[in-house]
Amino acid sequence: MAHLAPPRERGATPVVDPRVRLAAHREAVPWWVNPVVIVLALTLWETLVRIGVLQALYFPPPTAVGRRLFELFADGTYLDHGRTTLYRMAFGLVVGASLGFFLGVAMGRSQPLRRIVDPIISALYPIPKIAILPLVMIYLGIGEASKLFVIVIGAFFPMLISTLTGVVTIPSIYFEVAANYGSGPLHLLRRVILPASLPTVLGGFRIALNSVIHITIAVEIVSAVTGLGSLVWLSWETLDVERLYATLTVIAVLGVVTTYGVNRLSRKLVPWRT
Amino acid sequence: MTGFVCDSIGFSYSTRDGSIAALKDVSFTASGHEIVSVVGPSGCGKTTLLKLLAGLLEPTAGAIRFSPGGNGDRPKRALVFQDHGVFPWLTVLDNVAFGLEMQGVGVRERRERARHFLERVGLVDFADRHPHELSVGMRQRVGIARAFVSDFPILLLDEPFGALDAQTRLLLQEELLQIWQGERKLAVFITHDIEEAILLGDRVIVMSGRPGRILEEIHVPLTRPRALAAPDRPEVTEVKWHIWHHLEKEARRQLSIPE
Repeated sequence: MAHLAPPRERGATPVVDPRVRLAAHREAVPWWVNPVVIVLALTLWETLVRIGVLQALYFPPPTAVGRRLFELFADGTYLDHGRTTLYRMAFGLVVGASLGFFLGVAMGRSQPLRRIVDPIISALYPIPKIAILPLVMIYLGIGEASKLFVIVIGAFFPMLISTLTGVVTIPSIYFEVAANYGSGPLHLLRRVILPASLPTVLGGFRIALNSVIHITIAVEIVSAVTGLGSLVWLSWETLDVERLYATLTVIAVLGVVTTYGVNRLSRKLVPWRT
Repeated sequence: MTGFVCDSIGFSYSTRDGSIAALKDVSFTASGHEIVSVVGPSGCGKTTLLKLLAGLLEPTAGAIRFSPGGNGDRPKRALVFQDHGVFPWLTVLDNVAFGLEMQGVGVRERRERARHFLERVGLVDFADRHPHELSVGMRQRVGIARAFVSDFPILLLDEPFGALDAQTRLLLQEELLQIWQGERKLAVFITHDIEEAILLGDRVIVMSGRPGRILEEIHVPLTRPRALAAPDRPEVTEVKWHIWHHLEKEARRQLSIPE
């Protein structure tokens, strides 16, 4: 019990409840543990292949995958396909998230609009977006437009739903304060609605990013001849397992880097939620 | 002279179970530079009354007339809220300057005026902090500072010290009186704390439980400026028990304590 502990002397370490100290210790895993575990796992994999426990055809050793990764970067394959994939993701995210955001704010502020649109959203949201690609291709053709459309939809829904939640759950007291000091509609949007819903909106943006990564790769696997997803499929068709692993590594890194970027951005934009 | 008249105002709202009257036949006036305390049991419609005065709600019966009464020059009213009235995404400085921003004061001037006021109340070191870094008491001071800096002629305070511990509350009451002494506005102060109502108010309006009606209007036998120890004086104690007898019945009913 902390309050029974002897009085603290000047300069002494603070007296901490032993349970609190335990919890702190549990979390204090040194930074080098993660890289060491990864290196160990890769070494184990490599060894198992080298001594013949795993077949190199199905489980290419990490060194081979690494070599392949390097080659495909050097000959520009990953740069070309990666650029295409990134462009599709960025387009889908920017257009889809913007549309979702604006409709979300409008629905959040208008009860009638919410009543009308909400059932439609609820019906469409659970459909896996890749499943509507064939339908979209009937209207927009098999070209780039239908791919981008589906990716846009993928970003649109999570952003819409998070923005709507963020706006609807703004405590009414903030609107009262703004109204009391005479806020007009535009000012209200800029000074109250946007910042108050921002934490939830950014959460939605993170989900939208995740969804866009999924759908872009899925669309490319199903119907594209360019992009990292198409490379994955091509590798399967040619049973090029090394390239399969290498490409998945590139996709994973792409996902980690973009997610990290968005998280950093969130912390920067929402300094009052730390 | 700045002031207002509440002319038998009522407010009822409809729920699934029909119409509920929150306020009934409330009449009182306030003018000049006085503080009118409103005290009553919880749920008696005190906050509704304040929102009506602020113009956030419209009375469903009766009317509130302000003087001056013209549409354009009706006196502006600044609300100070119970809790959470400051914006978590604005710094202390911008929170305090928010009212001025609404009046179209440029960013440099409003920050300067806000900073000046923060200096006066000793909060200037926290100007660039966000509210979550402050204690509850400090956040309330920010809300009060915003109302004073906006310089509206009427202040409406909705239990601003309700969430504070006794010591903090005492200090903030004293500070509020001090600031008010310098700025002299018309203030309506809502509270459920009888002593607070007496210490701060020139008059105390005692309200009944729902639907809120005015039971009595009491003149506080204290002069200004006031000291913190004022409520200990015998004539004040008498007022205090007088008000308590009004409120006791309702309080017992709410707690199901038999009389």
